Amino acid sequence: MSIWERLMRWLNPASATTDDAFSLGRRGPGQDDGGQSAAMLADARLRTDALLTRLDRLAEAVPQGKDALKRVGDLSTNLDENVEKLKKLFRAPANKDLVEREILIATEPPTRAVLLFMEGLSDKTVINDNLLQPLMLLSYELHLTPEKGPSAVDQVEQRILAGHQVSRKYDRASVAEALLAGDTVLLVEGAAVALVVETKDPPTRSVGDPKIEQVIWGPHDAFNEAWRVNVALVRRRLKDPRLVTEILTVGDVSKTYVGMMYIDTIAPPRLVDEVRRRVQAVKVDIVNGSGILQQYIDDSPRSLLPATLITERPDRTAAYLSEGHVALFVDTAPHAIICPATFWSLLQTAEDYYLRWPFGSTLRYIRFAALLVSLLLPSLYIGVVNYHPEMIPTELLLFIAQSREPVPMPAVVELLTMEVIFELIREAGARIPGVIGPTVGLVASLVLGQAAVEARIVSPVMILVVAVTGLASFALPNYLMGWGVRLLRFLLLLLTTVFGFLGLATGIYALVVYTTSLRSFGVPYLAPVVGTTGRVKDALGTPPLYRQEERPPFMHPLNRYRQAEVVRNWDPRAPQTDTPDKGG
Amino acid sequence: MRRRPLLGALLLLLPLLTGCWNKMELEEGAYVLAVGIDEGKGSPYAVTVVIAKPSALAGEKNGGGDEPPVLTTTAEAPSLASARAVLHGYVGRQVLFHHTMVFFLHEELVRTKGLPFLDELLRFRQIRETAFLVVTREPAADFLRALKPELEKDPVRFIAQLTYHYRTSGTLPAASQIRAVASLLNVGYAQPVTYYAALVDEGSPAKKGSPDPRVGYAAGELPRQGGIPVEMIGAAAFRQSRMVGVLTGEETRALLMLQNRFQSAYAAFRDPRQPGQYVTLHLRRGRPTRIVLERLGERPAIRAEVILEAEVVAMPSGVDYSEPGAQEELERAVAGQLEETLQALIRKTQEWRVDVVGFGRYAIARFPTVQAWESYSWPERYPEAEVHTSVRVSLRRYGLTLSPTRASEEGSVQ
Amino acid sequence: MGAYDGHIGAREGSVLLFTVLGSMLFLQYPQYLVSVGGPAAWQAALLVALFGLVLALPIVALGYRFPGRGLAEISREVAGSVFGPLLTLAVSAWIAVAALVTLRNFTETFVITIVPDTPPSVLIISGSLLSVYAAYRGVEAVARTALALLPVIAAGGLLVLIFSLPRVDTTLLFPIWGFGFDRTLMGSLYYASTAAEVIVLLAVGHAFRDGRSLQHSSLRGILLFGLAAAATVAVLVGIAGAPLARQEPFPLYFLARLVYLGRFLQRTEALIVMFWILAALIRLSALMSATAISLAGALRLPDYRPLLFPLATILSALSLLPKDYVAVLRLDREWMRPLGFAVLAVPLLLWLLAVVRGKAAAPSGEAAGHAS
Repeated sequence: MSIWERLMRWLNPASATTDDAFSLGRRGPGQDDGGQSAAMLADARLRTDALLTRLDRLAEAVPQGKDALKRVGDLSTNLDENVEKLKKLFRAPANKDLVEREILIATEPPTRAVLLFMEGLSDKTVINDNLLQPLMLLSYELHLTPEKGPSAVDQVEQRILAGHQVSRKYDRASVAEALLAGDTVLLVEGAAVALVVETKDPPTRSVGDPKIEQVIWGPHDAFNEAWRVNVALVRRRLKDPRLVTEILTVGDVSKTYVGMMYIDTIAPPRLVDEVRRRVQAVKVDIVNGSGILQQYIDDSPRSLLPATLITERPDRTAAYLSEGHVALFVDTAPHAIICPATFWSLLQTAEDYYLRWPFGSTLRYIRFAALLVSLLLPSLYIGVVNYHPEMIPTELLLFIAQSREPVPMPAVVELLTMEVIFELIREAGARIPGVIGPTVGLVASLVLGQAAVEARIVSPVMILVVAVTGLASFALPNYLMGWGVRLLRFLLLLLTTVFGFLGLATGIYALVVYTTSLRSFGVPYLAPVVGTTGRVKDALGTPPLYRQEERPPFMHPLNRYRQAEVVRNWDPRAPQTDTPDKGG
Repeated sequence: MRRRPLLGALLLLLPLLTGCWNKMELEEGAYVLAVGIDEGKGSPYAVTVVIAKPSALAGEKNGGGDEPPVLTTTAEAPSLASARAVLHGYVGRQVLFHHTMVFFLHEELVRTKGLPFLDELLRFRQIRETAFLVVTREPAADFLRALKPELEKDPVRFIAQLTYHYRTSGTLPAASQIRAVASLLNVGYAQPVTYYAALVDEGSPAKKGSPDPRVGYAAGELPRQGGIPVEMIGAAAFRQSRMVGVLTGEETRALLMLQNRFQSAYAAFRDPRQPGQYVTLHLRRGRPTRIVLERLGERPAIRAEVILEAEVVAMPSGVDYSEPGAQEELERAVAGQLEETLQALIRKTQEWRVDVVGFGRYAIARFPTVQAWESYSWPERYPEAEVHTSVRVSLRRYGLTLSPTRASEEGSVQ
Repeated sequence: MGAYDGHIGAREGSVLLFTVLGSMLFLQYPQYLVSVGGPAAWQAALLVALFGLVLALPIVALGYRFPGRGLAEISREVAGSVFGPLLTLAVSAWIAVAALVTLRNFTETFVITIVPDTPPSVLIISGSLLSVYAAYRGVEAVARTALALLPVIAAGGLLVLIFSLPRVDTTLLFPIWGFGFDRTLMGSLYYASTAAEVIVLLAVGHAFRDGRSLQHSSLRGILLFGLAAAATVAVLVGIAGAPLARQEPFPLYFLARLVYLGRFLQRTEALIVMFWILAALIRLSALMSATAISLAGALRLPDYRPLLFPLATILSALSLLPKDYVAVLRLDREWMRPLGFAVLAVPLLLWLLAVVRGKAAAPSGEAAGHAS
């Protein structure tokens, strides 16, 4: 187009364009919704149709007995009708993911059948080698002559279909569910039943390193997004037939599998029932992460501290399962949700037990000190500097006073500014693509800190306070608790700014009252340190492993002992007892 | 729903309120490090405050050489807190007494009027009871103005470091803090002592001290030249809240020995075989001092036994005291000289009628009730008491060499 | 009664009682002991604890007779539906006044010691708000908070005592019998009504599962308190001497100010006061929830939580009534202490009535609020 034409177009827009820029909302009176209601109507019609068919069949099957009732569904004996209705359900052929393969099973005479599977979710090698090949080629040797109808299906299932898990489905909804999980469906002419062969092969990562809960001295495998793999990782560590995996489904659209694992006879049955009840009560459209499910089943979802523990390590999960907890594995999330959880479990890592006991205890105490520092240090600093200068040693006081002389802002504003900058650095470091991430963090903190001091915006002591607080908050092992502590720190800082140490004390009191009255699946949040069920030795410190004989009492286990009383009985210095093993 | 962010924003703005009652930024304070109290002309007291200058005391640039790191100024007022009103007339920051470590009191004031401001020191919350008292011979204002130490920038720290010498040479009392003095004020079994300091006038031909314990080292009369013109040695003795006398350095050391608070000291004693020469020993506490109250009644009888260990540091006389006989002679001579000092101390305190040693502690254990004790009235009995003191010195070591060197053996010095 | 009410065991109960009684150690209680016994104040402390143990026995007996029941239910069942609630109301009134005095006393203390320019009403309001919040979360929350904060509060007291030990002059603890053992005895008897605060445990009796927890809580709490009081007062007299200690309204604060570890740890009394604030808040929460629970029980209300708000408002307003600090102290010493004996007489009376009328309760204590 020449320049003249472009100029004309610009001067007079109406001449060249039409006024129909795309918009989702309504542009004027009386416009339709673009066919959305028509699509919903069609979908509803499909479902009612299926429902009515099922009701009719149910009515027919009632006089015929229980077996007949089990086989009630909405598939028809006509193969083409079934295939047609299924394709309509999946919006094929527009939806290219549903693949349809029409075959002739090599019986005498050949039987018409259709194989359906979802592209990308099924294992094509298995379909080719173990389903299509036997059905179309190898069964020729058997010379089968089934009658058309249900007996053909029986023969196919038992003699030809070389898959390790085959089940029968009678209605379209479960066929759709199976297809969407990655299984292959075989529809045979003349029978109102679909054979579902397990061929799941969803795309997943291989088992990798833990991203958040890294350990120096222990196993390095972590959960990944396939929940079956996660369950297998746990089963490797607990080879007990009493370990049960139940499958629950959550979400109307996502139909996410949630695997619930527990050890029968160790986990309290009431706890298992309660967890199941809560998960089944979730009625939403999608659940695509463990954090989401956690918020739905948590006792107090609005609290700043989580009441269930999310972990990505199978060894921790196995340990908690053996103490009687229940673990939930949400498909597509590389985490396990452990219910119930106490406050002290948020402060523990797996490493505490892999190290020898003095080191484990020391680690725990350091972590507890880190919790206190990251929660209280800024408030203490402001309280001392602004309200109680008599507490500072005189030389330090004079030094801080002279270093603050050129700074125009009150100490609180300084602190808040540096905290905000620190949070920005942290968040930026988390979002920046991998290669430059650590460099940015380092450079930012060094340069910004130095520059801020030189520009007389903050005093050097403030940088120290903020840096130590930040470091301490990174020493906390649980990510959610780190967030909670961060927010609480700001609240306490606010109180201290206005009221001094008085405010800090009131803030701490309110916090402790709140935390002691929280419950997680009926277990007091601060158990076993605070609770009626007696003391436990390893809430805060870790005693030697051979002395931890009992399971945590707040779970009310019937099976209390998990170790013999004298575990190292070959040691000449260990007490020798004649009592029989009290192992669980 | 719209209200919540607004509320949150208001809440977050709260910290910017700069007037939250007690809040104060550090650089807004004028921190008083030391206070001097004299008699005032118009008001009862003249209060001298030593205010720290943070940039000079703690700053990176090493002060402009001759700029004093503190501000010393005097205000007349009936009390410390009311002196603030006067001071705020010309001091730009808020005067705070939180970090006051020393109180200098003029001797005349405490001899005539006693310690009436002690009530404020206990009642006013800005003042710490761990601050200590020093009685000065000269007016406190002059004393503080002359306080320009050379090894330190902070004059008050200099004084504080002087007080540590109670442990290294035993010539200062063990405790002179406000609470130590106040807790003894209303009980009868001991009387308080405080540090004593004086200014030195280099020009005046005042009598100088000497190592001879009969003369002793007194504050203001140390035989020396050069250095800061301030001396703090010895103690001031009080009867209740009024000062009654001054003890020399040796007498204070004897006091510490009797109180079982003596740690160690280097001291020179007259050589028993060579008059005019001195043997220097490193004295250390041996066993705890044993004090036995032998008799109560009209004239109490007290026996005190001090046991010390010694190490020879210098024997310039050339006499070999490591031989057994000579060693015992030296031990006895040193013990005898120490006993002289002890008796001098006892005499002085009985003359002033103050039991600063605290013999009354051993008496009070004999009385079952407070009423019985008070009717016995120990402060009246003490001046009449018979006090027998004995000292035992054990010579343990001789330093790096044993017998004296040849040079000192032959030459006769002085 | 009400929504989710948990239970507390002997450990939590004794720590709760210890904190409730022990927070008075931070205030004038040592001063009372020194005025009674002089240098022998530690004997007074132990004697008060002993008398308290004896005076608390009726409460323990009632706890055994009616396990899992609170004072309101017990008095209604034993003394009838007219006289019973009247007794409960009288006890609640006393606990309410104790809460009021506590509120004002601690407010004045904190204003004098660490925040001189803050108006007391700010402290009173925030104190009431917090204790309402804690009482709202339940007695279990208050007791567990006491247990969780015990190391902190105990550290606040113990550290002060330990750091003061080098400066203790044991001579100050003589003459050994103070003003004479008979005077010490009589004085201790006067202050033995400190044990009246054990009735707080009985008022929230439905938080205990059985009589044994109540017994252990009460007796252990009083015993711990007696030992702590004896240690505190011994160190206090050992440092300051009896005459000075008698004048100190905040003895532990005075001791805290003397802590001086080298040049770097000094004047840490503000930090230690923070621990005391926690103890004061626990005491206030416990007293307020006891009042509300007994009131609700006497008036047959289904839940005590709505009562907390008007109660807090009234108490805050009334706590500003005494004109100055000395008036508050006088109110405490001359009115509350003697009335404490009257309060201690109530469980004794109830127990006698229960024995005479042969009343006891089945061991299950649920739905006590709906008992006829």
